[in-house]
Amino acid sequence: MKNMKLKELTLCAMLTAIIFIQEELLTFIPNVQLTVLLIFCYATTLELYQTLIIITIHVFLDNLIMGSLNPITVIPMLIGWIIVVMIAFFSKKTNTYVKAVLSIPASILYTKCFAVANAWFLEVDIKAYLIADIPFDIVLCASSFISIVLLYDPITKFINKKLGKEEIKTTTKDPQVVESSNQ
Amino acid sequence: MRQVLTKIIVSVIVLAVSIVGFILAQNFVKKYNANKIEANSIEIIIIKENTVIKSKTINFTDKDKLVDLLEKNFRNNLSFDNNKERILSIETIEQDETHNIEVYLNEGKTDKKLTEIELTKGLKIKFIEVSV
Repeated sequence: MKNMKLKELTLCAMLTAIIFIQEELLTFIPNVQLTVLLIFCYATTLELYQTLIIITIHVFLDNLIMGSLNPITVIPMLIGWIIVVMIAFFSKKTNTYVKAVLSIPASILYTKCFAVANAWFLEVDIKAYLIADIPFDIVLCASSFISIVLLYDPITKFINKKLGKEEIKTTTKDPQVVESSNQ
Repeated sequence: MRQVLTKIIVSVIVLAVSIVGFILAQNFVKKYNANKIEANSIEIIIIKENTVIKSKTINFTDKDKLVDLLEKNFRNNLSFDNNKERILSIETIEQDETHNIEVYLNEGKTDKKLTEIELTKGLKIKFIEVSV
């Protein structure tokens, strides 16, 4: 693992706080969240290990606050978010709409991690669980899709700016403009 | 500007589809639950200090008795005294004088013995281990 610069370290801490606070603020609306959007933003702008650190801290803090710090909740949640991070990471070079579409299977896989854990450890009727979960899956997928379509570009632009990275758009300048600026 | 407009239109369409999907899914879940109750089944939930240890829907026939169903399906979670009239403990909890098991029938607390509980369609039985 690389040593993080102070600026990156501070930014990661702030991004962790943002992902945690938004989830706590939106807990009153079941499954409506910006976590998937933020994970997609982080995974495409930060290093993979940085995103994984953010997610791990977020999972532990979230469960600590919600009083669900037990393996039956923490393990599937951590696995679920790591799956989302991986999907986001490997969709780095795709456009926003593809990312939004990919957020749907990512969200479904995230919720299914809980289904497996509940069926395995609590011996819950898996069929009944999956059927009861369908409306909430739809809400999660819709909130992930819409938030990515509307907010992914401005957020990544902001993070890239803070990281001092050049955006892809700025590298594809109009040739005439580049020429005149060289003169 | 056009890009923003496209994004808003796509979002509105997806939102509308999601709302319709959500309503249809809710109806489907309601129908599924109604069909489940129509069958001769009961739901049994075992709770230990706010955590669900096991939850199961069991089908029964007129000949079945609750204690037999419990012993058959929850042998690893519950233990009984000899005459099967009272649950002794949820086995994952150390049995001591500070814990007690409360029985709830369709969300209402009951003092009935297990042998006195009649099996009815859609009955929901909760066993909750609490500290006293």
